[in-house]
Amino acid sequence: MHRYEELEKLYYKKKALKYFIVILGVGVIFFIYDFFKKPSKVSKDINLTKEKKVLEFKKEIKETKKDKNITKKYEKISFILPKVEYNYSAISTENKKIKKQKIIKPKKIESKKIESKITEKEVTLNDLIQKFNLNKSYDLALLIAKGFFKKKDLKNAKVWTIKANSMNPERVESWILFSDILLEKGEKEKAIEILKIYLDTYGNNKTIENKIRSINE
Amino acid sequence: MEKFAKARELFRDIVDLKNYVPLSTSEKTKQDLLNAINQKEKIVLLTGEAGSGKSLLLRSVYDELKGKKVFFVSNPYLEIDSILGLLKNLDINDHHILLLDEAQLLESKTWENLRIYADRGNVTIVFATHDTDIKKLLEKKHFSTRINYIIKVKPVSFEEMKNFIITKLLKNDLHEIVDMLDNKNFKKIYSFTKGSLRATNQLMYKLFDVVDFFYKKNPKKFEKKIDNKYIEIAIMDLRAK
Repeated sequence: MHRYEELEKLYYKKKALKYFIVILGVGVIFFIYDFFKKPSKVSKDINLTKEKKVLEFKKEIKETKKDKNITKKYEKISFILPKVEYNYSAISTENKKIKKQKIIKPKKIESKKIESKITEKEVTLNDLIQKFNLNKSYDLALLIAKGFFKKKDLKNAKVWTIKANSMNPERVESWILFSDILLEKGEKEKAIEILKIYLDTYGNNKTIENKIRSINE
Repeated sequence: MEKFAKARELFRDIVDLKNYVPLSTSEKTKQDLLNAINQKEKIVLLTGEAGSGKSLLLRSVYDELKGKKVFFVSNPYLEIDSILGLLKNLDINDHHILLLDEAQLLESKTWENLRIYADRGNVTIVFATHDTDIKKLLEKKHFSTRINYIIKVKPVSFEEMKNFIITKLLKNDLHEIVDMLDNKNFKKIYSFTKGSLRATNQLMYKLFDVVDFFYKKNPKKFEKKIDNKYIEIAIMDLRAK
């Protein structure tokens, strides 16, 4: 075979190799892209441990829930959302009014008046639920949950606490209220565990720490 | 002779004035050199990378100066002794020109002798040498003070290289081949030669040899264009050597 013919063969081999390298390169780029797109194993493990901790919390909630919509809301709780500074000034004046309306001091009210207040509270809760359906907010959900809790309607209190929590899991109020509900049910250990989950997930928080301390005392 | 074989012979790497193609860069350098000679400067250095066209330029200048008292030394090893003997007996009142190609081959003793002759003022010596040799030469103080001009032959641009190839082919009525070469081909050639005229000659010589071989096997493949594949094969062959 002539030298130039050999070189021609070599030329085609080189060309094929070039194409192969290009295809391989593209493949590697896609692989790397795909690899970094998925969360890393470490973060997966962290999420898994967190999920385990939340698992009991989940089970408890599932037992109490029948409403399908509520179940959907609850699923949001399992997500660990990033810390977000909550702007308290942003709370609407309407909500503030509702709070004012809602705050009831039963100790200071005489027995006859209590009855009337109780009826007033029931009406207020229904109004609040209607308002919530029109304009869903964390504060409203929490307000409703507190209302049910005060009425010792623990089942609904739980449901609305979870609703509030699903809307802003970082805020401590829903966690505190949930622990109160568990305490009311006599489940002290679970209440502490729930609060510890908050600390593991979102870091130190004085309110939560004080609550744990008060439960232990 | 087939057209490709004929084209091949045009690019044989020899210093032949027939092959001189007046390019804008080389023409400017040539003019600078002629000006320095006409001003009767003592020592002029013509530098440039290997294959930049110094030898051809020097020969072109020699051709231009025909009629004057000019000596051309293409091989200092063989001719310098006779030239030195000649310089001894030159008339002091006449101006002479000595064009010395491949000056890097000169021994330091000869350099010194030539410098002494240049100092007499009746001879202009043009040394054509590589860049690296110039640095060594300038380290010697007595030389650096006597060098009046350092003229550098730069590598040719893409357009000049293209003109160089086309002009050579057109000069020899090879229009058909010129039409077969496109910008893609020239870009490929320039990527290898990087503006060196010697490298361009070597590659074009090899290219037409390759094309001639494949043309004889299958002429239909060369009806319109010359594929870059053949340039690649020519480059591979040159690199293998």
